[in-house]
Amino acid sequence: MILEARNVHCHYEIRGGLLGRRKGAVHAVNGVSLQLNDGEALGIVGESGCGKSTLGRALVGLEPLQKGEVILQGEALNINHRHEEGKSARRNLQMIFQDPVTSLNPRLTIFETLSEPMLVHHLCTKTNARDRVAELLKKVELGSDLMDRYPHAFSGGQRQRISIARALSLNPKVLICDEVVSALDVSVQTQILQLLQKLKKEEGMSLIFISHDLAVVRQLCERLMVLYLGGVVEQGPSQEIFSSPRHPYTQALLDAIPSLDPNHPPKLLKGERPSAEELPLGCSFRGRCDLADETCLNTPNLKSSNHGWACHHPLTPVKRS
Amino acid sequence: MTSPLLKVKDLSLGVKTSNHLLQLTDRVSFDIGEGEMVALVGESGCGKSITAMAIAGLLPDPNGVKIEGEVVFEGKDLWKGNPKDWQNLRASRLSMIFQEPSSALNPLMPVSSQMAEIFTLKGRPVDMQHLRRSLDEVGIPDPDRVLKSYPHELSGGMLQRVMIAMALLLSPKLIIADEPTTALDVTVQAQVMEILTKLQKDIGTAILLITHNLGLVAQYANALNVMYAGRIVERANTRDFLAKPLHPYSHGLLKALPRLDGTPLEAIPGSVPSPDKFSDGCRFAERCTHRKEACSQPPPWKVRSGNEDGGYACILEGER
Amino acid sequence: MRVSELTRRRWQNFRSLPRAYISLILLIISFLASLASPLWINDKPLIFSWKSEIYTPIFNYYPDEEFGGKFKTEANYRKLFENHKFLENVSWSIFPIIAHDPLEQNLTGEEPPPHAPSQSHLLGTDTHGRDVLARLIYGYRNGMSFSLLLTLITGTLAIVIGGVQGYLGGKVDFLTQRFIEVWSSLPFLYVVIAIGSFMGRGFTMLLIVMSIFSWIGLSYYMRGEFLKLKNQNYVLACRVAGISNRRIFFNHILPNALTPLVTFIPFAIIGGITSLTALDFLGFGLNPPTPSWGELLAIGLDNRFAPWISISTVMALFFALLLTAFVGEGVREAFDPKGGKN
Repeated sequence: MILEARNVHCHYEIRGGLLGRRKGAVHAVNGVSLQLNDGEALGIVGESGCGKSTLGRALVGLEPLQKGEVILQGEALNINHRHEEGKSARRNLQMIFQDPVTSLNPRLTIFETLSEPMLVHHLCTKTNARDRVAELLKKVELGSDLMDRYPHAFSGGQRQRISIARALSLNPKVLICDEVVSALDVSVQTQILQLLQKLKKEEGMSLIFISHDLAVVRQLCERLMVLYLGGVVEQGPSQEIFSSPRHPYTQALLDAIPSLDPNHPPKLLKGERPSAEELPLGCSFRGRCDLADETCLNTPNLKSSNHGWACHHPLTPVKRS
Repeated sequence: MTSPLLKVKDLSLGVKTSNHLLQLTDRVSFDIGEGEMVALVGESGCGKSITAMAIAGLLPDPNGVKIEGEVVFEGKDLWKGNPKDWQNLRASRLSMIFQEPSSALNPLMPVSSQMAEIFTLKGRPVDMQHLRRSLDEVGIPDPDRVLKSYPHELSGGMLQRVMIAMALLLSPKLIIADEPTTALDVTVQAQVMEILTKLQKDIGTAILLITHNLGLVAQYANALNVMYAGRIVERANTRDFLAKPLHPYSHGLLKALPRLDGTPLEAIPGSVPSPDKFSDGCRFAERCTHRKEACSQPPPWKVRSGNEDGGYACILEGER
Repeated sequence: MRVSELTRRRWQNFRSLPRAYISLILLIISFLASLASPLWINDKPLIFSWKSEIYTPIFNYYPDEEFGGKFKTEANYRKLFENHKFLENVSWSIFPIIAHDPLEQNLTGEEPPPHAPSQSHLLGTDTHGRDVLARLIYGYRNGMSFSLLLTLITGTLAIVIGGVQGYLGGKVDFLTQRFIEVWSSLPFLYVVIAIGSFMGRGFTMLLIVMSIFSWIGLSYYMRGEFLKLKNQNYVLACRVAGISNRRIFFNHILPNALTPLVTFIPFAIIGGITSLTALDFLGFGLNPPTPSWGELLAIGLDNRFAPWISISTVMALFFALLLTAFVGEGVREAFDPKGGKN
């Protein structure tokens, strides 16, 4: 196991009034635990407000954790400390962001952006920096002649490749991808997914892939975690979850996707997502679930097995012929 | 055959830049019949959004855009007429919904005022009952609360529903929906599309759906037009298209779509050309696996066998 | 100096607005000329030859005795050049274009000052008999220098304080903000007058006093920029990559935060000139007899029968501010993401 998160809680306080009194809190992540194995890709899916982005940021230390810990290669990461330059434990966990436009400093050339992390961590010297950057660009299928250009000259897909190259420059063990293809066109999306698949295989990278798009996650990830309102509702091998989801929310998510088969129209999920400020008692999905009853007033626990779900009335498994 | 509600013929839009004219769309033609949902499908930079703006008469700077071709709505050519005609048409006969509901609504006005504005602009008395009913029809459970709220107090899905309600207030004949669900969660998307199609049936509104999501097209649209680099490369009704797409780009799009069943992806190599590099010949040729010499010439339009309305722009024939 | 492509593009956009470009050139030329004003506005000759020796009064000090006088104080060249005996020995001389010193009082002439414009005094003289044109140009030098220095100092203060506030956030931001609120409620004019009255009112003193108040507005702006920029993805990526706060602040955020600051600068300069002129007009600015536009305006106001004083000063003020405003417009155009006037 290369990365583990135990019982992570993140919440934001809402302050208001003249004296800035605490009015409440947004519970973005509520007791999420995850395990990532070496060379594996884990998908974290959910809709807006489920806490997947907050969780990703908490793992890399961009977001403070109120409770819980993150353990990378057996070493607990002290996330609430201000980062110090060159700290080696940090650099094994890198992140790529969603928006290609703001992911690169518009005033720096690609060479400068890519060489900076390496120079800071003494992974290369000023003399061989250009060679190293050329290598990185080659890994993401871009030509080294692009090194001295500025970000505005590149398309969204190319910028994402450059962001991936920057993350790779520190030779991380784990790469966290936060909606990295969501802002891209379908044809470009496919290219980036294929690139990530290649990197996973050739560099032996472990990936955490955060997305709202289940079909994309299907392509890339062996394991999958479904979040709803800050909690894990189902997790397990993605193939199993897709063919036979056990949690009603997972089923609802799959049903809502418009497929290319007109004979299978999307099924509607009733109701609205409750506010993350006031989490409902018991199962957070209770208000929208057709199978809900009194037992659901007790918060269900996530079964800790290879394929686990947090539900009192899990769906019957689909037998595969 | 009855004449279509909207007929776009050879619409070519160019923007004037410092040195020359940048041709963004090239002879775009398609029809929308009454009560139909027709999709305009393509990726970013294909020109679908600016075509939608041209039809709605919302081009950012009419003097900076050179327009050729016709946009005929209910028999009247909109670009040749008086600009005031647009004004009269909008909201009552022709309406538009946008991608980002939060930026399409004025953050400083409550929902009721913004909806009421539509009536006052048309010189009609404001009917609160009508407003309530329209919010009800888009599936909003508590219309009074929503009417009093400001946009920032409502969720994305709710705002989009409010936008749809506003678009439908005066029962237009055509709604242009520019990526209406792209910014929404998939479960909310399903709800919003459901509302759109229900209203389409109830009121008989036609919908021009601009999207890049082929799944939406498959589920909801009667017909589609595929755009690439400013041109329409294929047109068909949805059933025919899904059964047999004819243009290599359409093929590529379908193969590049990530599937829930885990079918491996096939990417289209290369990237979309930018408008200043558009060629006269087939613009997809450089990425096409079936590229031939003749592709440097403008591609011919071939009619789809079995359905005259459908067709594709390619020199290749039939089965692949 | 490496110029990024972005900067080059912005320069092109700036140049696409002719009035901005021309104004900038005019301002630079006029300012540099005013800095060199002792060379071309002076009552001393630039260079002359007397009894076959070369004298350069502007650069060297020659006592009265040198030319046959009785005193060790500096020779009065004006008197000398009116003296026949002296002139006999002068083979050639070159005088500055404007042969008046701004502090020199011309009390010769039939009528008392102020004198109307004439051949020797192109814009006339003020109530003390001093040449108006000379005072105008020296006043421009003083005002523009003051304003440029003021802008530089307040800009630096604003960046540092606003930047630290925005970047660190939290308690630092909160406490600094409270301090700024108190500080900005001090009545600026009274403080300037008070400090001026017991510390003296030199150029430097005035500069310091005005600086400690003027940075506040700009710091709000910088704080906002830093708050916004520190959440940009590329900054987050740097943090994840383990790059230190200091490096992020100076290499990543600061260059991008300065960009909107540049659009402010021309208007800050206008503000500086106006503030100094106002203070001088009220009599609380630079000490007399330092030439300044504010003082000229005050004199002009009191002597409306000598309109050449006020008219020339107002015109000078108008054009200086107009040109700077054009430059400001050009800068705004340059930074407009939609590009220059195409």
